[in-house]
Amino acid sequence: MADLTGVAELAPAATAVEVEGPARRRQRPIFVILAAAVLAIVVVLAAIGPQLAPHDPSAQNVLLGTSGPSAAHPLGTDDLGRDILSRVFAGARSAVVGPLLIALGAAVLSATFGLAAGFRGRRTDSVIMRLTDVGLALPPFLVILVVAGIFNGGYLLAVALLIALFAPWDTRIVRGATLEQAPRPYVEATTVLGLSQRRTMWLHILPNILPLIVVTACLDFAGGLVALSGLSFLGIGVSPGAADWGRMLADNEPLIFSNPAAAIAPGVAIVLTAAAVSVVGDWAYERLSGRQGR
Amino acid sequence: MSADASNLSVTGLRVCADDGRERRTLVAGVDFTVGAGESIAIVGESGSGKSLSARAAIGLLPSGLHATGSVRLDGRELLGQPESAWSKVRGSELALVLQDPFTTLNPLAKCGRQITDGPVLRRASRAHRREEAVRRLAEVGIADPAVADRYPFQLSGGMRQRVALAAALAGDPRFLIADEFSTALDVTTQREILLLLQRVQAARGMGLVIITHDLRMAFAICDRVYVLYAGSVLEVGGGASIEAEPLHPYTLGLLLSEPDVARRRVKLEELAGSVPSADGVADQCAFAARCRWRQPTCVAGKPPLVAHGEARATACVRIGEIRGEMAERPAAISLAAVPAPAASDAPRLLTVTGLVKQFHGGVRALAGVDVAVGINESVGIVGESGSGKTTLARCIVGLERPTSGTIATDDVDLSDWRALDADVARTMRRTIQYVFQDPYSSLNPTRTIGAILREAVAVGAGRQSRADGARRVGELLELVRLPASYASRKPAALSGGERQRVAIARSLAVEPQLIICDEPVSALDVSVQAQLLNLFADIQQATGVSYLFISHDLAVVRQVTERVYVLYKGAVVEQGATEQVLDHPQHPYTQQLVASIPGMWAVEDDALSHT
Repeated sequence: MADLTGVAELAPAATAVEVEGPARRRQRPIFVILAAAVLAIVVVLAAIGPQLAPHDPSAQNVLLGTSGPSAAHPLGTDDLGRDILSRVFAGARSAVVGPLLIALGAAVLSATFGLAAGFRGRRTDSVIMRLTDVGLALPPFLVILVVAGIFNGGYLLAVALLIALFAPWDTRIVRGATLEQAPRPYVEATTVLGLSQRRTMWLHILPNILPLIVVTACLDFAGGLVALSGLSFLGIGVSPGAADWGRMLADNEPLIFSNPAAAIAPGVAIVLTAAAVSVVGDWAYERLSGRQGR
Repeated sequence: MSADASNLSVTGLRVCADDGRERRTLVAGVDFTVGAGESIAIVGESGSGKSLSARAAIGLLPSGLHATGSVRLDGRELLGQPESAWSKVRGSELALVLQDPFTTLNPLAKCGRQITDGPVLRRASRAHRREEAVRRLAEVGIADPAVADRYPFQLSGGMRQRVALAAALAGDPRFLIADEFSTALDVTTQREILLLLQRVQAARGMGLVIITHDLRMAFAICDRVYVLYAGSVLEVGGGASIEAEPLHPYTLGLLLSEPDVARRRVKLEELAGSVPSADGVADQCAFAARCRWRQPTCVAGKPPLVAHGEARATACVRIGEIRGEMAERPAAISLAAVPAPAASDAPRLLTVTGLVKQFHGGVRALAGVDVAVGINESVGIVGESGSGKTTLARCIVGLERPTSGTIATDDVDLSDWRALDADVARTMRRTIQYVFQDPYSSLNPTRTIGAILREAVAVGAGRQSRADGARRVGELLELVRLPASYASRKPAALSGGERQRVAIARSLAVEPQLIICDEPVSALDVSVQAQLLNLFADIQQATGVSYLFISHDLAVVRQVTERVYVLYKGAVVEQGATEQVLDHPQHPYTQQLVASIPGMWAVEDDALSHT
């Protein structure tokens, strides 16, 4: 992107090389379609997974115990005889809702503070940036362990903690993008017109940095999914026994030799979902950036 | 043309962009030849394909573009040769210098190294290389050997271009292509650089190809001029003879659309519409759609370039019939000088007194400037980069805060916008508006034209009904002569000139009394510039708005202003009626500015050559 704004005596457009450069590397459409399909499946499962499941995800069959894949149980069962496939289906909900809240929460917080810091500058900027510095300086695992220890853990607490931990990073990104937009003539034009700062930030700058916010949110979603699973693995997130991919990974890890699918299936689900969100996020970024023309 | 003559000859050059789905022609059959010791110019507006033709001639097309046709150096075919063949030729036979002095040099390498980095000297000893660098610098007029040890950021734009030229000449090329070499420089520097280029070319007997959008500049320094339009050559001839009598309606239109530094015109010639794509005019005259003399014969087939008298050629099929009419055209649009309206003694609208702006780090952009603008008056501020003209404009609208001095309208002190009462600030925003230099970045790319204008209308009129807003947007678009349908488009779908019209419409939305225009046409092509300069005049007539018109271009200032201030190093060195200042400049700096305009060179060059 050729940014000519700094040049004092702008040369006529005639002087730029008169074609656009070679097309930017694009996501291969096939990956985008596959990723979108994976996401669609995960979302459907999150909505009506338990109904689609062949068995009741929490129905135990202690007599059966651990078993490998069979006709009745395509992915086998865990040590309590619960159907792995059904539990993967049911686990989609906590795999979507939590990360979605994290992504949205961090995006809203970072947009609010990042725009204000980058556009208003001066004291607003200093205060917000020092706060993010504090956020960035705290060791995340320590914070999670301490807070979860005090409040006895829980899924929503884990989500809230992750929002608080992700937001400072995102705020810095949004602030950086805002700083880049703020001196542009279209922003200065709103000042000359006498528009309010709030209107300039939310109606003029935000749409121009939206692609970045979207891709950041997608990364937060993927990161949040993995982090929540990790917390479940550590026993801080969802309550024991709940159908959750991270929890299943932790609980079924000892079964790796008797029924490998019991541990691998939720792991694969986590990786696929996280990767799919990243790919779709990249695609959305390109689409949104392209929408602005040059 | 004999094969053994020393020349660079391009014939039937076509450049196409092929992205796999569609094939777009960008250059549709261009021929040009330059011999040793000869200088030619390739002139054209954006989209004419002039830069691409030049780049194809040195084998440096951007990726994704392909050239076909023929590029011969002394009869040797180069096009289609592998990169290794090209790299033997580049530097030692053909060299290229580019426009932007801020990016063509490596910021991390000392100038001396950049000059001697070519294949010839790469293996030479350090002392020899340094000696060579100093010698090359001397050739481009840099006598100070210390420059070889400086980094590019330590040099001015003009000095950088000299260093870039020295680097291009280091391999002793026989042909030099200069792509908008002086465009980014101030007029005075531009003149020095072009005279230098001319001198070096003559001294070395080198062939020179100048790519430019500036007709007058091309006429001033080149033996032969090729006029390019939509990828085809429309006219070829000697500079002086084309200037005296253009033989293609396009060249005529271009000449008449340029403001003249010597006199103000009633109205500039406007070429309606915009440059078509080369594919759109593949089998007709490229200019037909915008030509006032169009006949069915013009669109019946692509007219070839036909020789017409001594060393002239034109692609106009009707030249025989319309030559007389074309010759009368200048008079028909009253080219005769119109005296600029006398400076009015109108009541003051804006008074700037003793304005000082000191930036952090001690740079003093403004050192006590006094400027006044009257009601319904058009005032110019002329100066080169670094003169403080933009800083002055930004202080007036509150984008910068002056260090001291006052900016006042009849009853409000605007020196510190932040300190203004909110209601007063709103009123003042409606009084003074601003049009930015770069139309490509002054419109929010994510919003439609309609949304941009509606927002501005709402600021001016407060709350009003949706229908009223839409009607007003329609009026504004009409005022800047854009179709109402543009309201639903986004800026990316508009050309530079159209975007600048939208920016003007936005500034008019609040019905201001004063519009500050910061180089509003400098980023645009000549023909588009003419449309906008006429528009500025018409708008002033229709609305009675005042302008504070900032420009480095004296001809533009002559065309739109009645009074002018000449700014130099942050201070006003001369002021008065525009006509008076430009015709009889008193201050040495103003005299230098006036002398730097391509059309005005001749006199002084003679003087120089005698000394």
